[in-house]
Amino acid sequence: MNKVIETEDLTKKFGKVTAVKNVSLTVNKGEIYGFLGLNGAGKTTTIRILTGMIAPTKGSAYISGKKIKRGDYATWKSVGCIVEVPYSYPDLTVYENLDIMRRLKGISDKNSVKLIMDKLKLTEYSGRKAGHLSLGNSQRLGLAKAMMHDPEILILDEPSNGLDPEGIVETRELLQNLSKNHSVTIFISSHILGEISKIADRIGIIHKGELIQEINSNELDNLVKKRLLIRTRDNISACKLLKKKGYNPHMNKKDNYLEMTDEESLNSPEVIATKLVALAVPPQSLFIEEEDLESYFLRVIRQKENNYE
Amino acid sequence: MNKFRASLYAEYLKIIRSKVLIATAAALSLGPIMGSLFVVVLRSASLTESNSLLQSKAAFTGFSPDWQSFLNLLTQVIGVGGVIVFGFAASWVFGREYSDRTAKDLFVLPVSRSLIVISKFIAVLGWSIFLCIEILLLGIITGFILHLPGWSGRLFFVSLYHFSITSFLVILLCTPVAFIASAGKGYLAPLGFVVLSVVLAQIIGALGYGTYFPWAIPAIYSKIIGTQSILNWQSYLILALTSILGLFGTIYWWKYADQTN
Repeated sequence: MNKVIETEDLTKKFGKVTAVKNVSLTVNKGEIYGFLGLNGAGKTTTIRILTGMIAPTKGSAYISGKKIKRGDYATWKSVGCIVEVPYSYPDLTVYENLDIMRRLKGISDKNSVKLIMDKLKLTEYSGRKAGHLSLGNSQRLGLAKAMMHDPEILILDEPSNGLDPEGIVETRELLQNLSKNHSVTIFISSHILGEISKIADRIGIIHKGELIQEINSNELDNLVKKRLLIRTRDNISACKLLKKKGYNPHMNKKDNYLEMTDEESLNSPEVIATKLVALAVPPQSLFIEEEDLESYFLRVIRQKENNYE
Repeated sequence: MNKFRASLYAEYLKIIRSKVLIATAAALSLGPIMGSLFVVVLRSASLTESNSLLQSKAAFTGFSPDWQSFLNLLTQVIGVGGVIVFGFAASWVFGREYSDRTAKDLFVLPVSRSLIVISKFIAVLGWSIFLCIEILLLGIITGFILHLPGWSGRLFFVSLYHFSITSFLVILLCTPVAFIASAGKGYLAPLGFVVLSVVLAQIIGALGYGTYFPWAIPAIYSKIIGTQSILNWQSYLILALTSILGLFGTIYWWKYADQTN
C-alpha cells in the first residue's frame, strides 16, 4: 500500500495543555480515512499540523513522503483543504472568490471556476457576495475552493457542517466518487460516527488528544453491541424456563423485555422462538437490536475514560 | 511571476471591493477641507469674529490664506493623519485575514507565504499612494477654486518634494502595524497601536525627544513644529530600522509562527 498521509508520534502542547498526544496513523492512496472525535478532542489541531499551520511539539507528519514544515508551499499544489468552518472574502462574489483561488493555485483554465461551481451547485449564486451566502452555501464554496485544482489529497475538517441532508448526501457521493474512481486520498474529520461510517474505509477515534482506536468500517458491524430482545405475555416465567434450558436471559424491566446477548442466541433467534413456543410462552415480539454507532462511539470513549481513572 | 501577479490581483480586488478604501479617502479629505475652512474664515472678517476658536487654531498653526501655507498644511496632514489612515490600511490588509478567518486558506496555497506578505505590503503601498494623490489633487483643486495667492511652479515642486518624502516616511511605518495585525490576529490590536503611537508621538515630541521616536519623525519632517532641521541621521536610521524590523517580523510571523486562528 502506498502511504500518502502519515503521522509519527505526533504531539502538540499549548502551554500545559496537550492537544494531541502521540498520534501515529497512516492513510493509503485512494483511501478515505474518517477521523472521529468529540469537539476539542484534537481533530483540528491534527489537521493544522497536517496542513503545516502549526508545528508539532514532538513527532512528524508526512504527505506523499515529504515531511510537513511550516512555510513549505510546494506540497499544497496537490492537496485541497478545509480547516474548521470555511470562510471566504465577504465583499467578493462567489465567482471572484473562486477566481482569485484559481489564479493563486496556478490553474490556467478559466473554465475551471465554472466547472467547480456547476459541480457544487453554486452557479446560481455566482454573482452573490460570499458574505450573503447561507451557511450551507458557504460550506459548498469552501469545498469548491478545496477541490477546484483536482487535488490528489483532500484534508477536510467537518465538511458536512451546515449542509442540508441533500447537500450531505451529494458531498458524500462526490467524495466517494473521487476516492473510488480517481484514487483521491481523503482525510475527513467529524464528530458524527453515523456520517463517517457511511463514507470512510477506515476510522480513527481520537479522544483527549489520543488515538484510542482504529477500525476498518467493515469491522464496525462486528464491534457494535447486539442484543436479542424478547417480549412474551409472562416475561418472568419465560426467563425462568429459558434459564432451565441453559440460556442466560436478563430481565430488562425498564423496557419490559427479556434480553439475551450470548452468541448462540444472536446467531439463531428462531431456535429461541421455537423453544418459547414449546414452553407455552410464545414470543409476542422478538428482534435483534444493534447498538447505534453514536452509542458505540460514546462507549469506546467512556471505556477509555474509565481506563484513565 | 504568475503567482506574484495573482497574489497582487487578489489584494487589489479585496481592497477595491471593500468600503474601507472609501472611508480612508474620506478621512484624509478632511485635511484639504479643513484647510479651505481656514482660508475662508481668515478671509472673512465677520466669520473670523464669530469663529474665534478656528481663528486661534489657524493662527497657532501659522496658517495664512496662501498657497505656501495650504501646501504645507497638506504635508502636515499626511505627517500626522497619514500615520493613522495608512496604519488603518495596513491593519485592514493584514488583520482582516484573521478577523474574517480567511488567513487559513492562504497558508495552504502553493504560493510562498513571503510572497503573499510582500504582495500585501505592495497593496498597502499602492493604497497609501492613492490616498496621497487623492488629497494632493483635492488640495490643488480646492486651492485654485479659492483663488489662493502665491502659486508658482517652484513652490509647487518644492512642496511636492516635502509632501512625497513625508508620505514615504509615514508609509515606512506601516510595517510594524502589519506585524501587530498578524500577531494580534485581527485589526483591533493594530488600530489600538496606531492610536497609541500618535498619542505617544505627541507626548514624546513635547518632551523634546520626538527626533528619536519613529512615529513623531514624519510629523517633524512635515514642519508641523516650524522646522525640520532638528531631525538628524539617527532619526532617519531609527525610522528605517523600525520599518525593516516590521517588514521582516511580519514575514517571519507568516512563515514560522503557529497559525491557530
